Amino acid sequence: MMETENILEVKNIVKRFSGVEVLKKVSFEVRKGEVHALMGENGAGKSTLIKIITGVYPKDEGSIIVDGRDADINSRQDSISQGISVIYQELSVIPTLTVMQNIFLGQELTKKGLLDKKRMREKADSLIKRCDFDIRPDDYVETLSVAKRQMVEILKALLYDAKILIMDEPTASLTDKESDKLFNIINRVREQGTSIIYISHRVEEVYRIADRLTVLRDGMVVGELNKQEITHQRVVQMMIGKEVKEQADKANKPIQNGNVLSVQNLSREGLWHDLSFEAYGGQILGIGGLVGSGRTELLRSIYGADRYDKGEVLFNGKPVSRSVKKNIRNGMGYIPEDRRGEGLIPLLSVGDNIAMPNYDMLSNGMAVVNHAKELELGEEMIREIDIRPANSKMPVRNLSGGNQQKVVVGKWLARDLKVLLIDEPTVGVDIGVKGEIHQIFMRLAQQGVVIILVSSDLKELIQISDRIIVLHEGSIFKEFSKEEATQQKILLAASGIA
Amino acid sequence: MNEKQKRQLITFAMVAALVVLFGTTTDSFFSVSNISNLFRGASYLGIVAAGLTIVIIAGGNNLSTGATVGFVAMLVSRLVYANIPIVLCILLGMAAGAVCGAADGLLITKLHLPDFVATLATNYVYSGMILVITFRQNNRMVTKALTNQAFLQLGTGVGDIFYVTIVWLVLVAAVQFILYYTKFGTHVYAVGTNTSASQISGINVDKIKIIAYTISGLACGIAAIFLLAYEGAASAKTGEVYTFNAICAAIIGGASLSGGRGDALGTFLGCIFMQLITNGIYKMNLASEYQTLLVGASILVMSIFNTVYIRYTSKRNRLQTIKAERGGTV
Repeated sequence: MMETENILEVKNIVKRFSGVEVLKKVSFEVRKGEVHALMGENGAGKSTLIKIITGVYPKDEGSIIVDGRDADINSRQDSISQGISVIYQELSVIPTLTVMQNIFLGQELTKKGLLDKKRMREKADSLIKRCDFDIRPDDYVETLSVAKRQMVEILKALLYDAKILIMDEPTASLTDKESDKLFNIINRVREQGTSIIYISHRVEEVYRIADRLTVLRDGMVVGELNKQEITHQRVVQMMIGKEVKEQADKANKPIQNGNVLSVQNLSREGLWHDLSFEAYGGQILGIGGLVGSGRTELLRSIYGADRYDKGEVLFNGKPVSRSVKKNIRNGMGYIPEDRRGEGLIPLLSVGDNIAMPNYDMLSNGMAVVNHAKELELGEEMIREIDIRPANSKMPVRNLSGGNQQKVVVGKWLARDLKVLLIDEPTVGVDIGVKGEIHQIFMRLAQQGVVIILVSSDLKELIQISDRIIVLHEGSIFKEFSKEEATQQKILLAASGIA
Repeated sequence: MNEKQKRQLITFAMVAALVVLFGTTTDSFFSVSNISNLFRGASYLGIVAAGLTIVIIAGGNNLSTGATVGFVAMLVSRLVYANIPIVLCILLGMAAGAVCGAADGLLITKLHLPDFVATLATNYVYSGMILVITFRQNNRMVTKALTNQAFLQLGTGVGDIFYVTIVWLVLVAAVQFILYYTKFGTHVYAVGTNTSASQISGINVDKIKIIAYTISGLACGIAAIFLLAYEGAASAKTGEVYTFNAICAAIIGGASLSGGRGDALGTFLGCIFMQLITNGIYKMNLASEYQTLLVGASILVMSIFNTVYIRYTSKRNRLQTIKAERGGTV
């Protein structure tokens, strides 16, 4: 047997979604008993590739070779019988059942039609021993920590002698300590001879556990690195590619009108400690950081929707209220990350959604809503920011993602805004509308509104922010001016590297 | 002690408290005939609730149990009245109950109706069917007492133990066995806890739910037959009380309406509790208002335990998870 024998070979995979190629002749190999990291930014094609390997999506071209033989994978069941197991990002363990019941769920051993608990317990026990996990077959999963639940998930995947174990962002919900444990587990699984495909965006952890890594960008393999070649700089460079600095779109420099939102020593257990910064009217302050670095919670805390343990938020020297209602009255607006869940009421019309935070202006003193005014406001906003279709009675859920987001933005434009907090404003928004939304933000900034923008889209962050602070482990790791900021610098700072 | 045992301990303590209360304050509480009757009364509810427990653990609910009992009772009384062989009457009655349950299950899984809506609707449908098939004279509804002695025998028992009580105990044991020693049982808990995770694990969620509702309907059919045999006649109101009482018994017994929790033993204790309240309050000559009040209070106790417990454990898990710094993905 050759040393470099491959357990999995993916050759020239092409996948199109409604005519658009999302995977462009992707090829890579996984060797027996290695941890192979698959990296790339959001939208690089990692999950699509995994779904093809596991039979969830059909491929349009190319072949998959498992253990030297052409594997005809057309369904999830096919991939399971080829020895390919997946651990999804979302845990699929059942908390109300025991470890043993979870491991065998759907594959229970029976004797004369009844559960063969004895044999299952033995098998679970030996599996646990082999991996040296600190759990017992009869523990109820709801009593276990997240890391231990993940162990259960791994055991479940290993039950049928998986040759290849695919882990999709397994550390997304783990603490550093739990991640360390997971890496030990992965090493142990590897020692058993199972190959692991490890999907992640986190440069620093891949560095620690991967034997090799493949980087995807825009549906193509941009490179493959061996363990000794893996460096942070190199991986980040490959993920981002050649950086084209967008032309700063600032013909007229914004005015500085003296509005200042100042955050002082803000702390919340488990999220951030002694966070201090200032955001000025006329500027867009960008906040970078990893998912989970507490950016969303920071915006929500300023807005009054979340609590914080310590510290102060001041606007022009005066404390900002902890009540959302009062903050709205005083000119604060918030565009949440979860558009459908928090930004909009999908079943209500465009007009109703725009009216939502504005009923103080749309009703008389007796709290009776003036429908004529409501209609007028809706139509005005539709005209002003070009919401399509231009029908204020259309339920918002029938709009495209971009137009939905315009409605969310439009809610705030009727007000005398002083501060606008924005969280991931253009997720799922097509490129044209994205530009329009950016224009609205920049126009607001020019009018002197204090804007704080959180975005994981690094291009967007750099393009429209005047200043960027990057959070890492609960404090500001670095601050960049518009001129200094590059995607690479922000990514490295967010990972706490440089 | 795990969470399940804690719940059952609470139910058991509540039952014990009632036994002590009624045992010390009334004279004939521990008399053979009172105990025997207490168990008989609990049996009809218990049989309905035993089937319902499976539905509730699977994350569903059934508001049509009472109507199913009533419908089957009326159907069987007509069959018996028409001199159809008793064994056939019983089998047809059980089959009718199972069909009612299966219909609920199909509406919920295949037509994706919310369980609450589907079974609320069928509750009225089945109740309406009682009126359709009821005895009529000169176009007016009448109640006809059964005289078939062989059938009425089912309403009696051996010695002081009614047949229905024996059937109940057997059924509780059977359901408990199914829940803990069969694949289906494990899958019921899995489906009730997390449907999508169950699907990923290869469980046929619809099948599990349909079977659960069918068992629930079948149990209603069995309860109906014994109820009819004891009472000797069916009316439009027969079985009505069981819909909510069975849900109450299951909750008091530790089942959770959000699914995944509970078992037959817990519901068994819940039924005893419900019957004790009825029986004891009658014995103490208290107004029946207190009965309702006590049931309400007990449901509150169980529900508060559920929410407090769940909040406590999820807080504990969250604290374990947040600890110190955490990273994520860009």
